[in-house]
Amino acid sequence: MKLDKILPVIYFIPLILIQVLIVPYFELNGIVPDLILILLVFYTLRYGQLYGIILGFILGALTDFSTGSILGSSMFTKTLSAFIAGYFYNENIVGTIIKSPIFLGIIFLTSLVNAIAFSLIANFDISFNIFSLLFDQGILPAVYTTIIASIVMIFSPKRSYI
Amino acid sequence: MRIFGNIWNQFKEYLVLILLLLISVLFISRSDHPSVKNLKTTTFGAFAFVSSIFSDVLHTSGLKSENEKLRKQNAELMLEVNKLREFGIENVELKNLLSVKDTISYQLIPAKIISKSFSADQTTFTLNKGTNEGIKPGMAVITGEGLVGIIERSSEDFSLIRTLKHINFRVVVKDQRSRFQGILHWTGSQLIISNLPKTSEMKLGDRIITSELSSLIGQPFPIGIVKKIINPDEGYFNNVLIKPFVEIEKVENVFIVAVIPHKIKNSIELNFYNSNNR
Repeated sequence: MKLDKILPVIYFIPLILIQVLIVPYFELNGIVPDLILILLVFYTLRYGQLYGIILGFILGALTDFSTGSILGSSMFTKTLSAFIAGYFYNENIVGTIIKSPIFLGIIFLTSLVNAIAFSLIANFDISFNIFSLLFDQGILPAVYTTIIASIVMIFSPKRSYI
Repeated sequence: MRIFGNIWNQFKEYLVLILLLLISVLFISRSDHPSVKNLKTTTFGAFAFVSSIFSDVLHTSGLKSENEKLRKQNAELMLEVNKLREFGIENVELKNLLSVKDTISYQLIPAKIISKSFSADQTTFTLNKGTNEGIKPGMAVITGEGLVGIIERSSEDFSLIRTLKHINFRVVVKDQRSRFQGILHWTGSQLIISNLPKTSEMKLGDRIITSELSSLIGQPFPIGIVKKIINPDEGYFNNVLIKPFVEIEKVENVFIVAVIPHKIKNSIELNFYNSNNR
């Protein structure tokens, strides 16, 4: 059980490599899906809110270090995203939630919060265009991440995890 | 003690969340501190080493088609070089006539992008060349089309580019036609020159290049063209939207301009950058 809880940190390494090496080939006008967020939400729904918050902080820190973004920005947004995803944790439906459309809804919501929070932290400007913030920097990346999550959902094994 | 235990049991998620968010904010506020920069350079170097191995494997498959493309490009460039050589000779002759001496020499270091990190605000690329090849923070990164960004930090074998599409990227630019100058920056969705006086004579389609006034990029590299002029009814300033020449998302190979400016100019201008990076 304890080893299982460390697994997402190990999965992070191949995922971040895919994120920076392969995902850029599928960018749409600079918008890319966030694979690390999918991993984070998946494990938060499995082990609960507190676990997710700590995992979000660790994965965020690793993301900041490996991508060269402002140190602390991904830490902040991933921690916050995991906190929100944690509200949907229910130990009675842990095994089935990954296969339900609710999973995609949670991914969309957390991805939206993640993207908007990231833009606000990294680039807060009093003259921010709210439409651009919501649509270009929020909804579009969230939709893309949700589409990728749906592929993960379809191909994930029925009763086991990754 | 029991009260604290109860509070912890009831609000532990919130307490941990607040603590971790505070730590994150602390890191954000200290991101320019030298110790944080050193830590980032070390970890970035280690990660770039791993990603370069996988990048090599991934790129091998595309080498054949890339080779053909490069051969064609090579032939086209050869023709271009021939033409430029003629202009160069003519230029030297004219300069000699005017007794103008060049104070700057360019050295282009070719490099390959081994990984890309996209986000609306902070697009950064990792290069397969570092301080061992003479690359230093602050050097300009270009392609045949124009400026891509600047070197943010370098480890021995790798470097990180802060691209034009990074909110911390700022550079003094000028309109090649009207010579008006302004500061170019990325807003998160647009590349703009902000707070330009309404009296400036920029027009749609004007070419924007880096200005000699810039303390980091003192050479005129093409940036893009004026796409839109936002002229608010109130105030004295316009914002100008720029369409970059370089398609940042598609860039794969770049050149780092290892500029060796005039000695005195170098010591005066780069002192500012060095003192900020100590």
